[in-house]
Formats: sequence, structure tokens, C-alpha cells
Amino acid sequence: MKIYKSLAGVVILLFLVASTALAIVPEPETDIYVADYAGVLSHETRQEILKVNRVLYAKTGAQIAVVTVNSLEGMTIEEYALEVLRLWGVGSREKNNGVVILVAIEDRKARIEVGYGLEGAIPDGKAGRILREEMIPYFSRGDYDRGILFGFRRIAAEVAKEYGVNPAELSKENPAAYRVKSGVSAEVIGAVFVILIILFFLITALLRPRKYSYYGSYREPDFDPPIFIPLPGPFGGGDDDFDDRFGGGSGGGGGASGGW
Amino acid sequence: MNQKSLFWVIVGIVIVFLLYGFSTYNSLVALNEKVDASLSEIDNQLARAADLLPNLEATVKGYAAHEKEIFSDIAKARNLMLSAGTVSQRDEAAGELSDLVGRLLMLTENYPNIKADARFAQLMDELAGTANRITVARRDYNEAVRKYNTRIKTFPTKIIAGMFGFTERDYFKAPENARTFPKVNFGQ
Repeated sequence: MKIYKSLAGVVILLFLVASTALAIVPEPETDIYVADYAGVLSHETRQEILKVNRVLYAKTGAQIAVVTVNSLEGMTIEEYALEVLRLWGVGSREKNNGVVILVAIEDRKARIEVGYGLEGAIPDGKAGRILREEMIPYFSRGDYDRGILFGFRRIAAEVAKEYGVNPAELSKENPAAYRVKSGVSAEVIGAVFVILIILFFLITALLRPRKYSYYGSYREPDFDPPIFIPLPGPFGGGDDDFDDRFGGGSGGGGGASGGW
Repeated sequence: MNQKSLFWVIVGIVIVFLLYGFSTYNSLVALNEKVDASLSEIDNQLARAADLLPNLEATVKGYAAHEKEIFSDIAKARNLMLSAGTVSQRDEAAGELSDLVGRLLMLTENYPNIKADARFAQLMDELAGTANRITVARRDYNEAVRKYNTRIKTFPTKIIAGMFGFTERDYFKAPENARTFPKVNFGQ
């Protein structure tokens, strides 16, 4: 009996050694950007993540892989996320601009792993804030779908901003979701803008020769309606089959982790 | 065999040997560079952590000025980071840094105000980020050293390594122990 047991042990050991050293989940064969092994994402979220990634990759070479697992199999979340980034090769090889959003449901841990090339766009502090503000609050309520979608949007927005990609190109329906909320500075810009408008009206009102306005001979200049240039939609075709592939990017452990 | 063809055979052998020598030499240089690159990444991250600590200290002081112990821990860790010159000193500084991250997180359990401070949270993210990058760089370093040392100690390369003075490199000792390495669980 003892022999059988130790034999079984040896076989298991051999099997473990023969398979990869660190047993992370395999890369998906199709729709590589979403590896929902825990099965927590809705169809809509999945489609949005795929679509945005395809545009992003075509324009910038950046890739944001969303991975959900039930268990980390004894690894730390930092190790697991880095293994995914490096082994799958998320992001382009030249720019190393990949991000992995990893959520481990049973371990109650999440991590945003940032490749070398995006450490400037998403420093650790920002990654941590995105986790805390957009993701963890939903995760602690069990709403993984929304937490992941909101976190993904914020990260995609940062990446798009880094490369100067117009948010409208990522999502025609909801470009605001892919615009970087710059918190205070947006308010400051808004306030300055309002003050400028008020000043403009005050000055024009003061400078305006009164008699003309009273007698109606003063005419407001006509403004041309703003011209909208339709953006070329590179993926207007809809549900085509794309040859998704990870680019071979790497990283050195940048990003942030959190639990709930 | 006349003398002329013997001459050319010898020339051929010498050329082959030289080519082999060049390519081996180059690959050893490349491996050695990789070891240095991981080492300088560790240095960069230690320097970055040392830069973050004064700000972090100031933030903690705003809430818990009486927690003298943590401030002496911070000072100690910072000194180690700034003075690390050898591999083992870097090792010690890196270990101190990850301990410090743990202690700071533990401290905040008693101070919900610190925990809620956005600036503190950001600094902690960055400090934890540097600690994690060091863990990664250290693993990459050991991997590079393993490759390099194996090559200069195995036979044909050993001659070239000896000729050009390639010497063995040090490992980072404490290989981040069982805490961060995957545990194989046979019970499952």
C-alpha cells in the first residue's frame, strides 16, 4: 500500500514538473482579451472589452487582458498576474504596453499588472486608485461584472490618453466612459472657462456702442454650424472574425493589488 | 599531403576556433549584462523607495506622531537602502523594505484616518509597487546568474571564460522564501 502511495506521489510530482513550473490558466484560443475562467462576466461586458481592445491594439499595439479565476492555486496574486503578462506576452513586443486585470474570486484579491511600456501612463498609485475607486467597491458586493467593466474602462482611458487616441474611437456609443476624468484639473478648466465667458460678455457689453444696439441696426454675426467630420470606423463590419494575438510584451512587476 | 594544404587546414582550424571564441565571448558578455541589468533595476527601485519614505513618514506623522517605533523602522530601512553596495546588502535592504510595507499596513489597521487618506494610500501603493518590482528583479537576477554561472562552469565555455576573466556572480540568497513561492498542495 505504501509503495502505491509513494508511486502515486512520484507520478503526480512528475506530472507537475512536466507541466509548466507555475500553473497559470491557459491563454484563450479565441477572443484572447477576455479569459473569464470564473464565469463572472456578462455578454455585454465581454463584447465591450473585446471591441475596445481591438481598436486599441490596431492603433497603439497596447493590449488589456482581463482574466478571472476562482483560485490562485497557492501563488500570490502578484506572481500570478506577472506570469500571465509574461507567458502570454500581453502588449506589443517592442513597446511592452500590456496590462493584465486579474481577479481571483475565491481568494478575494485583484490586481492590475502593468507592463514596462505603460508604467508612465499608469503608475502604481493610479493603478491602486482605479482598483479602490472603480473595482473593489463592486467586488465586495459580489458585482464582479460591473467592477471589472468600470476598471477596464478607466485603464483603457488612460492608455488611450497616453497615445492620443480619441475616446470616440474606442466607443462610439459611450465615449465619455473612455475619457480620463482628471478630477480637480477639469473643474479648474471649467471654472476658468466660465470666468472667461463672463468676462467676454462683460467686455463686449461695455465696449458695444449703445446706439446701435438700441436701434436694431447692429446684427449679431452668423456662426457657421460646427462641422462634424465622421471618424473612419476601422471595425465597422461588426462581428467579423479577428485574428487576435498577443504581441509578446513583458513587465517587471508594476501595478497594484487589492483585496476585499 | 603537401605542406601547402596542411597550412590551409591549420588556418581553417584556427579560424573556426576564433569564431567559436568570439561568439562564446559575446554570449557571456550578454549574459553578464543581463545580470547587471537586473541588479541596476533593484538599485533603481531601492532608490525610488528611499525617495518615497520621507513623504510617507510625513503623512503618518500627521496622524500618529507618537508611534515612535515605525519612524525608527523607516529611518533604518532608508539607511539600508541608501548604503546598499553589495549583493547581500541589497538583499538586506530589500527584505527590510517588504517588512516595512507589512508593518505600515498593520499600523493603519489601528488608524482608520490614515487608511482613508488618499495621499497615504497612493504612497503605499507606490511603496508596495517598488517592493514587488524588487521581488521580480531579484528573481530575474537569480535566473540570469544561474544561466551565466552554469555556462562559465561547464566545459567548452569554461576555457573562454577563464581566458577573459569571467568570474562567478553572487546569488541573492534569501530567495523570497516559501511565502511568495507557489506551494504544491497534494491534498487537493
